[in-house]
Amino acid sequence: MGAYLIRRLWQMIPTMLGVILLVFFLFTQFGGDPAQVLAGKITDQAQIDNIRKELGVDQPVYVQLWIFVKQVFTFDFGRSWVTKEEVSHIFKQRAGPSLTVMTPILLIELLLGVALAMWVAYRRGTVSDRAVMIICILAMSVSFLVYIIAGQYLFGFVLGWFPVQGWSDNLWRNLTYFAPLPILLAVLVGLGPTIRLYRSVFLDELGHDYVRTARAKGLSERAVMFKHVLRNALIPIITNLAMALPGLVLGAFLIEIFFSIPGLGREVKIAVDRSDFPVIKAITVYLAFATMVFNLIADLLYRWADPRVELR
Amino acid sequence: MRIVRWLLVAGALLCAVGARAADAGKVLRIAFPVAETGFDPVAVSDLYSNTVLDAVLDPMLAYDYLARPAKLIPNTLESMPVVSDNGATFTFKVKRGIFFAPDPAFKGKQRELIARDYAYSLKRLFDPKLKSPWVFLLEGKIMGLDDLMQRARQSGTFDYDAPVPGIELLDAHTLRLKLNEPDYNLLYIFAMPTLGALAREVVDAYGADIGSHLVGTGAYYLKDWTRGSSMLLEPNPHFREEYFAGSAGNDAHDGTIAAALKGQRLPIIGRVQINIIEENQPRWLEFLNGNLDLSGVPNEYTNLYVPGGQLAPSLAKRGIALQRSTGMSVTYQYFNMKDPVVGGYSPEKVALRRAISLAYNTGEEIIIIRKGQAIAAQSPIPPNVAGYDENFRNPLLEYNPAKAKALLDQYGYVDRNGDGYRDLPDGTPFELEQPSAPTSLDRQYDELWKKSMNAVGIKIRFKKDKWPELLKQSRAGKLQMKGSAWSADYPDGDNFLQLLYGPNSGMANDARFDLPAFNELYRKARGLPDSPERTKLYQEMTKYVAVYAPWKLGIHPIENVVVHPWVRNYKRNPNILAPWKYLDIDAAQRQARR
Amino acid sequence: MNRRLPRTNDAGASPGVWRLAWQRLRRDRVGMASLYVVVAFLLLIAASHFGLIAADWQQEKGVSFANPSFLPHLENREAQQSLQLQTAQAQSDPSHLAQFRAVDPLAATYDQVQQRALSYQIKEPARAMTLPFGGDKWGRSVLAKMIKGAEISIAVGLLAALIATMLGTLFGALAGYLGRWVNDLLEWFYNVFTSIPYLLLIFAIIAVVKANPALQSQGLLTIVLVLGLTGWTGVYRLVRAEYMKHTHREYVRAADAIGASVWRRMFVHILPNISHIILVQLSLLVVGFIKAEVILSFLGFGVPVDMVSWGTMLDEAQNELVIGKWWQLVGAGLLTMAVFVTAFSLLTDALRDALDPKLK
Repeated sequence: MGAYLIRRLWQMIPTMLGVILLVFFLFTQFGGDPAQVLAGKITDQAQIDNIRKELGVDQPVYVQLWIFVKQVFTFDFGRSWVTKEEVSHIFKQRAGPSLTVMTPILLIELLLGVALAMWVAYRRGTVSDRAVMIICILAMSVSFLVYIIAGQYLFGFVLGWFPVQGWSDNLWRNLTYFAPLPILLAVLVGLGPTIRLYRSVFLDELGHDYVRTARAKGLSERAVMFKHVLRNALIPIITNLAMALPGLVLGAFLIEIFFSIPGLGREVKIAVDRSDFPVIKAITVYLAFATMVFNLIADLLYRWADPRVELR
Repeated sequence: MRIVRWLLVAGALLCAVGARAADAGKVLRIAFPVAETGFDPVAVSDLYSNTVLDAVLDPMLAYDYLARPAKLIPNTLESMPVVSDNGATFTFKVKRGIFFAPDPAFKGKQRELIARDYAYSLKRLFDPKLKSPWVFLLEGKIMGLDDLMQRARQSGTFDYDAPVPGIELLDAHTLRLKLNEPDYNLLYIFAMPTLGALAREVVDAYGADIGSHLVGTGAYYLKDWTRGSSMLLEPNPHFREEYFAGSAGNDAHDGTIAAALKGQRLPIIGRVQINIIEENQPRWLEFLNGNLDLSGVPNEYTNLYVPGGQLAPSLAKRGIALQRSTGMSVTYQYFNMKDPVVGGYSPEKVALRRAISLAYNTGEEIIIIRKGQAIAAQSPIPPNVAGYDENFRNPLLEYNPAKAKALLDQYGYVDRNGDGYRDLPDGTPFELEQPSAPTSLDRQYDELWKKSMNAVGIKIRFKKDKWPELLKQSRAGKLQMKGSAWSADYPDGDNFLQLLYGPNSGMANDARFDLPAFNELYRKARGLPDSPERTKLYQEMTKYVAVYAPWKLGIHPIENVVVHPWVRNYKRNPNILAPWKYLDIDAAQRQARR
Repeated sequence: MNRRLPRTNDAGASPGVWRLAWQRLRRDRVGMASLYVVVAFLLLIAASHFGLIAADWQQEKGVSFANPSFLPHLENREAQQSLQLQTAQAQSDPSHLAQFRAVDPLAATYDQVQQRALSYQIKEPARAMTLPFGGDKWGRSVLAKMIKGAEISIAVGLLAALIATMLGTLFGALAGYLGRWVNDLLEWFYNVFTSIPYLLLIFAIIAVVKANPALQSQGLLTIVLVLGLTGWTGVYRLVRAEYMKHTHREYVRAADAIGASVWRRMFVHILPNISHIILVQLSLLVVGFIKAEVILSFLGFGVPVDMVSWGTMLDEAQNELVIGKWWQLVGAGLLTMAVFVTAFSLLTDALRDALDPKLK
């Protein structure tokens, strides 16, 4: 187990280097010049040169790359070019709101998705299976943007069931007051694909020999579903979950923008609008890192869910 | 010694009174549509950060709340500064007994505001390390200050203690500035929050973090700040005993406000809660719900809520009031005068630019894109700015595609190769290139340009790039033309006409317009204070702009602000970013009406 | 020799499989219904592409925000204002140039130009107060935009999906079949790509495409490339796994034995046997990309200005709902996009069931 962990961690290094190279070259070679924005309304060349020097963008490429690599490994990305806020502080402050919204979305989607998917898989081929699947597809076909615009207007304003937007620094108030509408809309959008995915997972499992054996032994269909199929289906479900997690940190940025939730997704959008490279680069690199870690955790969970899986 | 003790007692009294003056139960709730960027006054240039700075920092001068046209009044000064040497020397006397808001950097002591603080703020503007975007305001104006900046660029550190001939401290409370040459607009600059007083020990204590440790002498201080999301302002406990001292204004509404504020201790409201709400829909719905006390009306919604410039009955019934005013800014489309296709001063080049101007449908821009919330500009100088003449009409700025076609035909721009688009007089095909950023709003302008140019047979394509990239190319003179806008830094026409002054080419002068006749008029006008004589010169200059068409003048935007009935004393003043200390809230009414 | 080789024995794919799948699909009523809808859409966009319908979508036939024909009496202030503007502009009298004569370099030709202008008096055609499914802010028909938008959006989805699928298949085949360092390299590439969150990856690639003037002028190509270059990872993963499975099967070894080249083995022998998997992936990507185009448009990276897509329509519509102009939102978001995406997804499902009966 220990040796396995060390090997996997070791394998992460080339990937991490690849991410660093990709991010670095994309932004230095093709991004805009931040000195122009920072220079303000009227400016001359001397001032722009001065700003470029302050930002370090006048250095040769290899020096800039070396600085970037150092930043990644010392977890010190310096300050935002626009707001002068420390990038590490941005992470600390924005991750909370994102997680506050995203964790319930993930959990509700997981529970509802698994329950409904099991039910339709159990009743596969019937009218209710068909009906649920068609509803799922219909729900998936409408753009997220439409959901948000219409949902906010209808539930937030016309009916007044939820606040239109907002956020506080009280976790409980956020969860009970501000977050429900964004969560509801995101679950509405996300449930369709989740059910479809899990249904196919369950159907896949139902086709296996062990199910036939279990049935032959005289186990009830219910027992087969819960005792055997669910347990085996856990592996792909965990994979799916682990893959989804880092994306959730970034959040459904549309939700964060429309509901004024100060999370990471909104921060990235603002940073892109402002060409605030230190922020984008840091978020990209660390979310890439998080993705790798979560994949590793998923692998470890496999073993827990199914001891037959060999860790190679 | 006795004086010191007396001061301490007075200070303690002040604190006690200060706490009573503002009512903590009165909360003003507003929203910014764009996130603030930070609070270092010399570093930030965006409107919303400056709005907060305006509430927290004290520049030496301020604008009279109700007076129109704009009028400067002393803010932390005993009286208006004394001007001598024909406008080349200014003496400022700072009032005694003004204290900074408490901060650990003061080590528990009350810190009085002195003239040195203003000298320090002024010097900070020129510190190359801080890369202030505002240097242009005073560049080349104050004796010796530019040399200090040059030395700092070479040595790497700015010496704040080095003597500057133009900045003299006569005593603890008196500052004298000497200019290289007379300047009639200098005082406006000392009313900008950019030059608000900072205490050097605070700046030194927080270093690069000063942008998040805002300590001023203003009516409010920044109590809580969640970056990009919310700001909470509360009254500065050390705020001086200040009473409303402005004039009574021009109309009945102003009179009511002046009467309510008479003898009123400021500030009145105990908390200002600011949230960032970027999207129009949630921000507007929050206002309708009564969760925001005042709000701008997004242009997209004005036809429903401000039809024909009047407040919709549904809102008026709820007691909501509308304040409509023309913004002190102008939009324009500049042509690069050095460009081989559209640039140049020869008649056929002038004709091409004029034809493009005639063909672009500014009326549709106003009605369809801006939903009627703008007026067509007649000259570069917007309303409410000294030098604006409301009777001046510029017939060269009309929309007239027929005339555009006639002009193009007359000067030889006809389709020679049969591709359906006009070619240059020498027969080579040409295509305009309009830069545009990837946003939904830019897309609407692209649509309008495309159809306007197609209608007269001019081919146009769009150069899509990120905004900073376009700005860079614009400054390097690499763009053929570009849509742009300018907002007043101070309410004087000079701030706008300098955009076309030849020697400013490549800096403020995007178009690189350099016409000797215009330059001469500009120099002449700069030597004059605001007067009918100067306005006449401005009109002459406008004529040159109209006939040579380095700019296609656009519009002056109209701003609609709606206010709930429980907000008292609100009057939009385009020069005051944060009028919060004058506002009052009827908390009971607010509770009842919501 | 070659012809007698049982090309399809092992995986049981190729003509027989496709025929069987078609028979299965025909028994699937929902699948067939979706197929009809999709085919109808394809006919529609073909007609629009060749200019048979909606060719004049850019013409401003109606007043600003013209009402839908079935609701002619809704209040329309936007229309009133734009009509007033037209009257005002038609009345404007372009004569008072005298004050400029002294400084104007064109003063010599004032009269000639005035004369010529008279011959050009342009008469704007009268604008309709209603349009079949309402008008947008310029007065263009929303119905025509829905059709034209369908053409562009579906084209973007299909083209981008083709690029992504081809890239994914190529990489997957190379990694899965050749193994060793090729596999290591591509796996590394895959890991790098998938570990960057999708949204950030999109932003990054847009920056690249925008910086290249040759690509900029291509218009639609930009958005197709952005989507295509980011979407290949899923296909790669599946195709690689399939190739690893197939590499050691008998028919491939047989092909190897008779001296077929590596490329021939990879793309002539193995590819047809896994083409059903690729087809399903392709259809999934089409749906994903059509939806992604909407988000890109919201972020301002939409199709060029002389084109219209469902994404740009929805982006415009977001501010129109509050002022009561719902037709663009409903027309683009529900009546066309949702119908097509639903039909296409159902068809994909039916196709998967038909091609891979084990799943049933």
